[in-house]
Amino acid sequence: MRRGLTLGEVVIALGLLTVAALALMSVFGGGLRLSGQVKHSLTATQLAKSELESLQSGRVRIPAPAHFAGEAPVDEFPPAPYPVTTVNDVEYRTTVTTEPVPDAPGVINVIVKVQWNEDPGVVLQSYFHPI
Amino acid sequence: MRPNRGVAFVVTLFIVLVLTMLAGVMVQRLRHSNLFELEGRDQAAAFWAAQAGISYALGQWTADKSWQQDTYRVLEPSGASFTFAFGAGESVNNLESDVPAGTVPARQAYLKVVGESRGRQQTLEVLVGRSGLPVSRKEALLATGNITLAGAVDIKAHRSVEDNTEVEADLVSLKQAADADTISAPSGSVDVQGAVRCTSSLNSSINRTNIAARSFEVGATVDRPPDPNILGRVSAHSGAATPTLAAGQTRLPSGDTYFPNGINYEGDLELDGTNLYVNGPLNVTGSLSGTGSVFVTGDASLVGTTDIKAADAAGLALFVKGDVSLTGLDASSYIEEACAQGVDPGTQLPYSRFYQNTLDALRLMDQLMTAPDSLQDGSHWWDPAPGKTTSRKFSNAGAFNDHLTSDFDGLGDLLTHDQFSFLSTYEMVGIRENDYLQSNEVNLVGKVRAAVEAEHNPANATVKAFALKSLEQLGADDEGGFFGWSDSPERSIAEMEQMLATGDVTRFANSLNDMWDDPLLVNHPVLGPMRERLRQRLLHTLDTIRTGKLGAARFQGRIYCEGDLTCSNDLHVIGSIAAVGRESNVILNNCRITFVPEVAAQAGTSLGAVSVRAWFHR
Repeated sequence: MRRGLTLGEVVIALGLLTVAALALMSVFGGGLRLSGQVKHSLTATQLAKSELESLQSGRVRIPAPAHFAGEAPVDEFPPAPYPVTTVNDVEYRTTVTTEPVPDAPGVINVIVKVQWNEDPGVVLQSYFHPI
Repeated sequence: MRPNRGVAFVVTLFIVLVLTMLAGVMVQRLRHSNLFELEGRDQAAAFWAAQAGISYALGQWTADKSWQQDTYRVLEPSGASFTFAFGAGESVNNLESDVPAGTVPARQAYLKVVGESRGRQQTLEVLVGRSGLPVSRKEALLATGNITLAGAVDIKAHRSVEDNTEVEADLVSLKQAADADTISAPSGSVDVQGAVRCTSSLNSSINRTNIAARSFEVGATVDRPPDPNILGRVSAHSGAATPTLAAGQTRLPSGDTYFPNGINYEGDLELDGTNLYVNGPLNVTGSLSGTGSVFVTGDASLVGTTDIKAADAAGLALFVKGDVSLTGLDASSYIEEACAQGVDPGTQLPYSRFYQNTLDALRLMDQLMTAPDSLQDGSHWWDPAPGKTTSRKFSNAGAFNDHLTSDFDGLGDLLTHDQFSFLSTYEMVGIRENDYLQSNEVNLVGKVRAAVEAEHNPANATVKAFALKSLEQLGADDEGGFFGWSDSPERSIAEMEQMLATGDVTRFANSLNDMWDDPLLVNHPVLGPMRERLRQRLLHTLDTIRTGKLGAARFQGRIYCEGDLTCSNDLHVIGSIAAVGRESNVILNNCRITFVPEVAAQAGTSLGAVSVRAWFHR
């Protein structure tokens, strides 16, 4: 008589597969979440760079101190992509803060923060010396 | 026997193994991808941190060109940082030197900044220097409104201060409205060594009557120059010192000065390497002269003599937000009238004769210095006497006697000396149309001055004081005066080098006339190539004191305004003029503009902000 699988074997095999599947789902889920996070971060970094490059071009006078977190621009400051940019149905909110650098005359500290959803967001920062 | 026992377990283990391997590979790839993308964020943060380091150094250098301090700074809240150091293999500050430091050019700095964020680094290397203000144009005269010219107007161009090669000098109106006579010369004669251009397409917008030019163009496309931000520049210097203006005469100190409520001054205002920032109007009656630059947020009205040389050869002379008005005191007419009224008691000759001879002598001196080398062909009065090798009569005393004719020193003596030992044999070729001077016709300037002193009309008090002062300067006969070296012994090259080494350029220029064609000077490796520049200096001095030019306005550098420019005075600009407000009209009466593209292109290099000139790695 040819005997089939024992109940024990099947139970153990299913248990192993379940554990493995759960572990893999956890790993994939985390990875995908991280991947999504990084993609948001990358987009936010690009937007922050774009904001800094617009300011560096010298086309817009940079006031200091100033804080713009959604308010309407004044004299074209802050330039686009401030205040909000939508990419793939996700809203990226740009905040621009400026302050004089105390020990460097005429130099302005510019902090650009780009956030999405509830994430703390990306911060890029530089000094500018307007001509 | 149970041959299949455990198969399910083995198969399951195999499947789990395969899945785990697949998951491992995917997780690894995901991780690499994420790390790569996160690295991009950190690289960006490091890059902007390095940029912050450059801006930080630019700010320090704008305030103090000698600054060089090793710096490490963490930017909050981003946490990125920048660092740079000075020394071998690091940054080099050569901003204050006129000679290169290794591979770093003169008046520039090499800056190497390392930005860092979460272990990622970005290095930026730049060359830093002062850039010109953004006003450079190729036009000799540019206006956004009407250009009206009267009298003799001469617009020409040299390639550079030292190179007299002719280049084109354009006269341009940017006025868009189709109005007739946008550019016109109702009287006199206008000579433009270039094109006359107007952006209006109306043919009659350029009235060609009395205007000679290489070409005329309507419907021209010419861009407006960018805004140099006069208000911002003046405001940025509000912390500079405000010197007290003394009654009658004030010499402003070198460096930046700031006047918060404008200037209204009667007297002589002299710049001594001064950057004069005026918040409000600038009104000067008397003279505004010296070396420096003037920035005005209101209108500028200069009555009397204006003689400004920009702080460097490629600088700015006058930058005005409002209108510019340059008005002479017409001292020439006043002196002429004063001399027409009396007779010199010593010679019983009319003062008018002395005045005319004075003008002639100055004209001849100008000719003597202006005549190009190629015009020594035996047909001009400045040619060497037959058998003589010394040209232009810039000779020593012996040659002077032998020539029986005039030279620069001789003319200077005639103007200022009571005792003129060569007069008996001095044939004043050219003076009074070859009329021989009488033996008592000496100290011409002194006689003219006596005529002016004898004039007592109270209504002429201001112009009289101005005329006497000018004549006093013209007649100065000490070593500090313009003719102080008249009849002096021959200069030696060693003496001239010594004068240059001690910065005594005025004495050097005054001595130059003796040495102009001397092979010692011509062949000298350093001084020889400087002859042309030094000749220009001499001509400048001569022009300044010429009685026929009293009350003239003279600028070496660029004139820029955003209102109207009106000049009812002789005006000579070495540089260029731009009147580029919303609709700025220009009215010039008797004007010479010598456009020097080199000057215009580098306008403001002494004042422009310290900025990045070149990137090496980005």
